[in-house]
Amino acid sequence: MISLKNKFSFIFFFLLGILIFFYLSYEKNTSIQNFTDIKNHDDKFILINFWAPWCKPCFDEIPDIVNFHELNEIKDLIIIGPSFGDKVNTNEVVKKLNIKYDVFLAGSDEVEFMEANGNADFKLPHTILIDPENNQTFSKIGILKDKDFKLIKKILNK
Amino acid sequence: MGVKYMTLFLLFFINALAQAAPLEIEEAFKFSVQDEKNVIKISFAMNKGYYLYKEKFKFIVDGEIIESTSISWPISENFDDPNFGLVQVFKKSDSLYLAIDNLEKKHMLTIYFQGCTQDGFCYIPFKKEMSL
Repeated sequence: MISLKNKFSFIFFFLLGILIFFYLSYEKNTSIQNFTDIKNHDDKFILINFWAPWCKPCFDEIPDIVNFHELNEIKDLIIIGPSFGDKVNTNEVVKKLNIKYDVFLAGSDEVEFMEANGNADFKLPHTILIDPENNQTFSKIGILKDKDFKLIKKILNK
Repeated sequence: MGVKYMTLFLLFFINALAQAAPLEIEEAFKFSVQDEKNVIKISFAMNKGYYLYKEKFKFIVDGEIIESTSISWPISENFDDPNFGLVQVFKKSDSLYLAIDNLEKKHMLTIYFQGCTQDGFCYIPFKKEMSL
């Protein structure tokens, strides 16, 4: 026979389990899959690296961004990589270059964003850093070099 | 704090200055077209350090794709890359020819192309329309 006390503790732990499950799934769902998701992260810096699988300089640059992401586990920084390629080729590159940050296919929001940021003919790669106040603090068309990463780090640590 | 901001601003400024402003695509790759006897001559011009991919070129005349057998290409250069394999590129201004019939009537030409710069960025594939 299960006592009343045990019944309550069973229900209590069962409910707690459900709560923990939802909390963990919520944590997992914080990945960014489009530009609108950025608005849910307005307390963080967001480094946007626009790229495409057919873009050789992007290929050359991404390993450095992957490294930067791994070496600088900065709590307040989210890196995203909107791709101007198709799904199959994009996924292939994500796998090949072992990209751990969120990559998704660029859509009309990203196109508008690039146009608004002075890149209407979509030169790639284009990397933009947005601070928690939604100001653009860094922007570069072309491969990020050491000095660019240093500058980004400096902005993040200020 | 003020000094920190000043340094940041200066770094940002120097960084911006150090990069030559990337050209707009229409400036980077200039096309001109000329009717010749039974052929359309397409000339492309670009600055040093810019290049165009041969395989990304596509020509459409009045809605019909021009087969590669009807194109006379200039000499291209090998471009080998561990990720992309061996591709052909044009690094210098040059001309190519499209063989088409019925040049008397007015034609609409669409050129698809894609190019990059050697120091680090690519333009998204671009479509240029011209009338002949």
